[in-house]
Amino acid sequence: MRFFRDLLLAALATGAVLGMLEGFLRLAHVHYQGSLYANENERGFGLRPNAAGWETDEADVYVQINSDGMRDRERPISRPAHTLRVAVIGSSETNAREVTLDETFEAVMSRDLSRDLEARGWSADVLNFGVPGYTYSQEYLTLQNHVWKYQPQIVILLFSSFPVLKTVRNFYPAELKGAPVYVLQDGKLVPDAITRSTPPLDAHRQIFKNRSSDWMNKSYLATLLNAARVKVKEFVPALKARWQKPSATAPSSTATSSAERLSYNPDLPEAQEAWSIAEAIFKAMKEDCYRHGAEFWIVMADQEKQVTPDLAAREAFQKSMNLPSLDAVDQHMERFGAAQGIPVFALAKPLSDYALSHKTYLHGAPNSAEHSGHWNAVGNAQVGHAIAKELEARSTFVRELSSGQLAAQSR
Amino acid sequence: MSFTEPLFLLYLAICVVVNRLCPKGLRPAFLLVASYVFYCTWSPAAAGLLAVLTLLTFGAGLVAEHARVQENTSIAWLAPAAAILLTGYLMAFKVALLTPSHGIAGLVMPLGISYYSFKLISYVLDVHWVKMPAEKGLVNFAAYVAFFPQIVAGPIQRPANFFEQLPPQPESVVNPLLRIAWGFVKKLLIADNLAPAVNAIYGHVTSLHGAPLWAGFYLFPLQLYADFSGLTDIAIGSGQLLGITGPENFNRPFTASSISDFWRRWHMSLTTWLGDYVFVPMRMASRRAGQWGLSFSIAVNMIAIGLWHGLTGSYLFFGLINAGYLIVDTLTNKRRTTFFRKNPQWDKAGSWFGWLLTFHLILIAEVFFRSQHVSDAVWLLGHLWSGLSGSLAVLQSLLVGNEMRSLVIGLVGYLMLELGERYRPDQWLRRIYAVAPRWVRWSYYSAGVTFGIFGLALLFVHTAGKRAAFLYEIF
Repeated sequence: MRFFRDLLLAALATGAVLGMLEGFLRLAHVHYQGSLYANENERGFGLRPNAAGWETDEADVYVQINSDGMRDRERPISRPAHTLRVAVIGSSETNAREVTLDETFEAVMSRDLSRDLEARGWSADVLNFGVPGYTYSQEYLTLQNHVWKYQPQIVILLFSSFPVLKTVRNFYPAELKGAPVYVLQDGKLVPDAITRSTPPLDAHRQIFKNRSSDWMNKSYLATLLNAARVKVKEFVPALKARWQKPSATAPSSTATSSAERLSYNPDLPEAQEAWSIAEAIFKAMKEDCYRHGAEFWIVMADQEKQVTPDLAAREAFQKSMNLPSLDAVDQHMERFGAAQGIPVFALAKPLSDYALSHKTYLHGAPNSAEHSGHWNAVGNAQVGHAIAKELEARSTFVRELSSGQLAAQSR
Repeated sequence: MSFTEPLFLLYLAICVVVNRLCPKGLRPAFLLVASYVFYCTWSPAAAGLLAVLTLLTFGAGLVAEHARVQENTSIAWLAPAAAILLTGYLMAFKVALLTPSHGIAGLVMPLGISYYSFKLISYVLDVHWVKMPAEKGLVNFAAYVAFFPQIVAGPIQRPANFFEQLPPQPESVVNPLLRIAWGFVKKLLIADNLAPAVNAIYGHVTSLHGAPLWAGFYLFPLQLYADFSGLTDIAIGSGQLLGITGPENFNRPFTASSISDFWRRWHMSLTTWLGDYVFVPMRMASRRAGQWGLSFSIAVNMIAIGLWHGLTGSYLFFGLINAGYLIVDTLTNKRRTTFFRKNPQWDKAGSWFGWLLTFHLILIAEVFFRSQHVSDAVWLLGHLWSGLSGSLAVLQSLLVGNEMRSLVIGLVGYLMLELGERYRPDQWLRRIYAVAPRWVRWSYYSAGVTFGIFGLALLFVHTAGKRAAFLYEIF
């Protein structure tokens, strides 16, 4: 009996120590990356509905996912009357987890468009469907199966060139494990053999996993242990790489520079298959939008070297990568858009103008490497203003709405 | 491999287990191999250089002893010559790195050169001065020089003290582990959280006035102490796990009531080393010169301490300022003692004033220690009182992202450090533990394990893949 009493008291003391450590971390505001994802059969993974946790990779932001798995506030499914709905699909830039919800470019766009439409008695609702790490295949599935119930009048694909390389499996095979990939068969997009043969997930296991992640996010100590688990997982490969001879480690740096080269240059032969699949997906997206009576836009995210206010750094980068131009991808996509009748808007020019005139960096949050990474708060604000302005100028729907032609309708 | 890397802890754990499993007689050889493996992770070429110097000094020690036993005066010069050559070797690297354009291309400072050179010099001089017999075992000697817990930044252990502990017989693992954990707390919780603010301030020093300069003035010495004493704790704890107890380096230095008291508490293994091998011989030689001789010996000793860190103007000034302080302290000591004896009512106030004055005098000297150039230090000290209005906002703007939070964590951590070292809760916990009922002891174990697990998790998360360099690693 005494044994159990002592054991219980020791367990209580341990609990008190755990409480003290949790309290210390909370008091010191030291938190770690939360888990916001869930595995799913259709897209491989997605944001976990109602998940909430800290995002610490590039900035310290508390991110909340709504009940439909979007990094957004709760949205009514049916479009409210006199509301312009814009759905933005994309990956990490769209998700904008480096800034608070109010600072995302979608929020800025929403405010700008609402201001513009206020006089006509309309408001704007910009929905964030971005999921970090998504490929165009996953974004296509998002459009097909998740966007339409919200009845948007405009769909924007936020394009960046890096995910183009992920439309095929050969560049980043490990990252695409479990994710759907399309191939072209007789000019049509079909899931590849791996996607077709992937077994469905064990539903019970997923429920348990998701609940555990939700509980983990509530405790700073648990997220610390999870962060350590991730580091331990990375430790062994890092150790192996460290002991390899310099010649053996060379390919990884070559791979990085090659990925950068491919991201800036759409004409390199090794990426042509990826580009043709990506373009087929964009065409399919456009057709899907037209079927649903929505405008389809491609907005080209800038690449950080295009908008750095340091012109010498731009030039040095271009030289080091042996690139004909930093805008080659933008030009390529503009040609593609013109040929397919898709409005394409490149952000690089307005963002570069802003960065140069204000001598400011639009990329790079406090925890990322200097001036690199995703858009910071200033970057998001400028992106939001630029897209809203472009829609006001070029979107048929917004122009008709602004001019009063559609004001009486609740389309 | 840095002490704050998880890899180091893994390596240490393997070494501790293998060392304990080794037959006693083979342990010095094992320590030697383990030390060279550790050193080779930094630079195999530098390890080769260390091996050559070790062999030459080992030979010089044997020859010095032979000369003494045989009373052969013709080779008696060899030991002092070896000491001079070793000093020259250390100086050559410091000079070459000071002027890289004139140095050897690609030359880098061998890890721990200042520490192992001093170990070698003290050995050869101790044998020459008959303080100890020459070590006959090359393995023991080489293990002493390269002993990996001490090679990064000391403490500088004397040879006789090291050899006395051979073959190593490690005992408890709990106390060394606690010492290592305390070292990590000092480094990662305090020093590394104070570092961003200190770096931001000293990086822009000549464009600042008022509050940021005051912050830099007060923060750097706290960072330096937490960083260096943390490193020493890890080194001493690691050494103890392998059966070798190194000398202490710090004894609550910022509680010193006078400058001489401070230097008895700060980087003790270096100050006693220089005291024994520089100050005492110089003092003996300059005895006839009275107070002037004493002042001269102090000045040379303190300048040597300054320049040991590097041959730069700021370190020279650091040495000179401390020399000035110590000379005044030494020359006025008698009068002050007499005054306080005659006026005991002033004794308490005098101690407080002495502490406050000493603390601030040390801070002034540390400004030179931290500054890149003497002019930066002069700027900082000269602009503490100028442009005070609005300078708090400048300080806030210097700290981006989480740096303000880090600063608060660092300062609270430093307070914990001072209180911990003052009240030593570990000692009273140990006393309680000895007479405590079973559930308290079990709670103690489980709490220890819990702290250990989360401590390791914190260590992994904050250091894996990064190199959190110690300030004293570069010397």
